[in-house]
Amino acid sequence: MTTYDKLIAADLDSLGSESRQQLRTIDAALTAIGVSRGGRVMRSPGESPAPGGGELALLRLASVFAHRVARAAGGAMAVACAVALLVILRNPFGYDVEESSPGAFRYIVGRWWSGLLDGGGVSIAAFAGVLLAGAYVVAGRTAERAFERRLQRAIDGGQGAQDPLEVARRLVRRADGWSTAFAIAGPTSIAVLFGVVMFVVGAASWGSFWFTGYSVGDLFEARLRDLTIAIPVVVLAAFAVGRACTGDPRCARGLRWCRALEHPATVPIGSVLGLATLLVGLSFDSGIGFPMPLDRLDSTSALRSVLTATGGAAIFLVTAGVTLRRRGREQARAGL
Amino acid sequence: MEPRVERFVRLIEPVHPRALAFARCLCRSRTDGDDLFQEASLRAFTRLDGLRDDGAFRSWLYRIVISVHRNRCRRSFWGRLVPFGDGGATEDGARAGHEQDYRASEWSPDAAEASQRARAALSRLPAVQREAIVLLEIEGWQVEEIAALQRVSASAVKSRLVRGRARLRAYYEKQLGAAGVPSYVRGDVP
Repeated sequence: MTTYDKLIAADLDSLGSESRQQLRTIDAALTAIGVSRGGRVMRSPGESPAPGGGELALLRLASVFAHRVARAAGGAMAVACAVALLVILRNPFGYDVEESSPGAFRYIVGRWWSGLLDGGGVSIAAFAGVLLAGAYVVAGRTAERAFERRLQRAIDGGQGAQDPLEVARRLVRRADGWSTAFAIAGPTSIAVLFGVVMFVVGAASWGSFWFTGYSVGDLFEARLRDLTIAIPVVVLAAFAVGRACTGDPRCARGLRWCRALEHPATVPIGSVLGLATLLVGLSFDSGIGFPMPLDRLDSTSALRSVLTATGGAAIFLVTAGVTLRRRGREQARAGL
Repeated sequence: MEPRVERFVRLIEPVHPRALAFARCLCRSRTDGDDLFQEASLRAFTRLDGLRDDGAFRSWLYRIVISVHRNRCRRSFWGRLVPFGDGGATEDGARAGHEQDYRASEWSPDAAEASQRARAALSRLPAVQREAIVLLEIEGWQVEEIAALQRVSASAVKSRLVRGRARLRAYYEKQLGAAGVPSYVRGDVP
């Protein structure tokens, strides 16, 4: 053993002894995390929180609340993008690029829409991604401030002062259902829309199908019909899951579904189903944007509608599995 | 069924002093160690329902301390880049916190200096090596126990210990090379 080894051993001994000096008592340690021996979990209303203890729990709850609100906002933005794209693709105003004298409104709206759609799938996805990220960041920041203001009001409430931890927990619980619902509905609806449309148009511009889709039969039109059914179904299913997560006693059956979706096998099952859908689609039913002989295109094929349904179910399973498992971890972290 | 709070109090009471001391050894200052233990015990309390075997509480709690410590080490990378408001994230801040600890204690200057040197040296190690050295040298754990705690093989723990000790030695040689080894150690050299 060298001199330095001896010195290191001696110093580590000193460190060990020093670390055992002036230990905080078990009662102080328990109070710091909001637990007391009497069996109470949190301190009484109006009592100032122990340094670093109650604040720590509040910080955790603030972080969970901000993330939940941000996820809800991002998901809502994704649903809005999916619905807006679907409406644009359905062309409700009947804009026609070859029309000789369109009305001013139809002309302006049509130019804007066609400009967006001419960008192709990648630029549309990038545009939607920017909107989603913006909504996530802005909502997260706003939620943090709203949380602070709400807690400040609870603390400054005079006679009616409430336990800040209880108020914080209530806020976090209230955001639970919305965040779960939109976190599932948003990514699922936009992924289904992009998946189905990209499967039809491939790398080509969406606008060219918007204007000339009818020249390839009702291939494009039929997929929009499928999407018009699939997206509301996905959103409704996500809201059912979100409502069940709020613990509403009327949703006992929904709660069982939630537990099933939270199972670790859900994501792998969804991934396998998605891959199988992709494989079948590429083998038998790829769209006109792919190198596929035109005579194999059958716009009335029921297979396309089935693939839309299975693809939607696969994406739903994956997003629901991921969202619910993350929610479970958050619940444990926030002590809910 | 025993209420969660009572169960937690019953389980944490016997292991609290050692676990808190362990957390303090991992950090750059005693205050940081107290914060680390507080966060770990809060996490342990919230996850207590997931612990089935009460007999495994000690290693479960230590594992949580380690997990929180590693998260903090990751966070301190960003803290170094943006060191606002976090004294423990910088060398000066750590030293200031350390001196504050000693002003409040009755620890002798030599021992305080030795302890501070050990902390400074340990803070140079990667988290996994620091944990292994503290558990073996200070807490007196066996290599197999450390392996189970860190969820690696015994040979991996031995390797971490060897590398950690080599780094400690290199640090000491660099720091004390010019100043020389303190007299109370030099006298023991065979």
